Amino acid sequence: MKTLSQVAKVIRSKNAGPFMTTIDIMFATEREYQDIRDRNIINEDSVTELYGLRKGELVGIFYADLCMSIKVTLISRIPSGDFGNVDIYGAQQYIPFLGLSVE
Amino acid sequence: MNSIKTLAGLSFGYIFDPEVMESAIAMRPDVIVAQGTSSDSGPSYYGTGKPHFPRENIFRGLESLILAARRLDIPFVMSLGSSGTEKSLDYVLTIVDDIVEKHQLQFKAAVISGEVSKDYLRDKLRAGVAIPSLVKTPALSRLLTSKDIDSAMSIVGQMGPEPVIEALKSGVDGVFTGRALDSGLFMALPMMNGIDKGIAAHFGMVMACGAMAAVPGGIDLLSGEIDKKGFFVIPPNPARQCTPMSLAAHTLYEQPDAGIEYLPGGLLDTTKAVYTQQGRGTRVTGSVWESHDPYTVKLEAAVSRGFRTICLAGVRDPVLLGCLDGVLEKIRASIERQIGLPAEIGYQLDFRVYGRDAVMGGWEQNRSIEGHEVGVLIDVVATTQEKANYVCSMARGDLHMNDYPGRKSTAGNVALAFSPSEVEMGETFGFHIWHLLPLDNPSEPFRTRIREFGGRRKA
Repeated sequence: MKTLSQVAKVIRSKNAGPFMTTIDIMFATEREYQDIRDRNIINEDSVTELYGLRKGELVGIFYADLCMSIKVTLISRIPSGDFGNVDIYGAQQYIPFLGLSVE
Repeated sequence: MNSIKTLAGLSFGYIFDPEVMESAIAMRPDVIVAQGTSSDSGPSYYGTGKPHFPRENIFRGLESLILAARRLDIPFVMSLGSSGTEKSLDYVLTIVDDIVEKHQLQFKAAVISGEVSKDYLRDKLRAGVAIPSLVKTPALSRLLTSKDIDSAMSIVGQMGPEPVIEALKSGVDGVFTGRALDSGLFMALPMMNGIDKGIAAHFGMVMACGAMAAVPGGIDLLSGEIDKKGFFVIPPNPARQCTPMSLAAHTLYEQPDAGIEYLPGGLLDTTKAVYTQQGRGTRVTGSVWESHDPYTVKLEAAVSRGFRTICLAGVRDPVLLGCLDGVLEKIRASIERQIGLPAEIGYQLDFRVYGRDAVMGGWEQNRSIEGHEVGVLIDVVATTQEKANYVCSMARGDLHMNDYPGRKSTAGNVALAFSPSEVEMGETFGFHIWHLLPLDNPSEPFRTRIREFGGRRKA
């Protein structure tokens, strides 16, 4: 199975403020970026399944053609630093995307 | 002024390479700008007013930036204190005093408080001003309440460029601020010189984190030059470069949206920006500002959540790994039986299992233990430190010594990592104010004072 981690150059996550987590997926070539974008591989259903999202947790999926990147923003289930959150910067929340099938 | 050269540093306590600083100084900047406030490191810094870095790091980081500005006789603009509350700003200013003393410096600076008074906000609520949350989440009140204000430790406002512009116009050698919008610090001097807000805002966004916008990215200085048509950025460190890709990628960094950034008084649209590489640097044009009413300043604050005690225990035994969930649930139930329910007694107890789902919590879809060892972090927050210690100690005792099905290890179940077993983490906090205050005058909540540093030179 071909996965997103095999086609993307960068997959990273970071808080966008304490209440949101944002995931950036960046590609090295137009061909790879456009392929994933045009086949709509990253969509509401696939993101919901990857994270087991609850209603209202997906803020949006954004495309930045200029830097061949896809951005997915989520409402953090527990805000940064509150009881139960142990990833203060949200730096390790991209993991589910690594294994996303792109076939 | 046809163009303004800016040197971007960071004023948290990061220390810069002296050689890179010399190269940056040789580029003859007109102003040195550095951000030293951020919510990134979490609510604790907002609750305690302590900076994120130790005193020595802050001293050395600020020393090189202030000395460079004084040597070139150019203004500086720096936000200070990590959270940028009054307490944190005052603390970092005592470090500035030490720097001034050590180098026998003398200058006049504006100090702009980032803290917003509670009475001022209570008056706003009484006047019927609606202060909505910035993010739709159950963790925040939809509209700011007087209870939110009362329970806050300190409330800061993320000031825009306007109070900084007013301070610079007053003829000071530099500006120190509390909590501030990072890009606003960079926008101030260009906007004063009639440069379009969209170009200034994009310039600020790219420059705000220094060489994080370069490839390879890292904590380092960044040089930029802005004019009426656009801006050019280049890292003074020859090992780095700014490429169209690295700059465009940086505009995504820690932003919820791609190419659109919501700022006080409007939004910055970078979707049609044009990036052109020139040597190790890149020129940017075509960023657009769209004004919105009303002008808003983001309010931020944390509230006390109680006191925390933690304990770290390693589990290597395959039998225990096989029934860990059941064992932990039994401990929780046993504590509840002995002392009462968390809500009644005022404590929260959780086991964070590193090696299973600690890192991603509720978003982890793989809940199996695939490795041969895990770390169990016993995490307790209670209304008093004593209570947190008590509950954590009970959980540790049970985990270490209790029987479980198939146990062979009757001399101890887990590897307790430290002596003492439990660590008091002290008071713990959570963000509860993240709201937008509408303003007619962007500077209204912020107080500016002029301070002479270095007074009289010693003979």
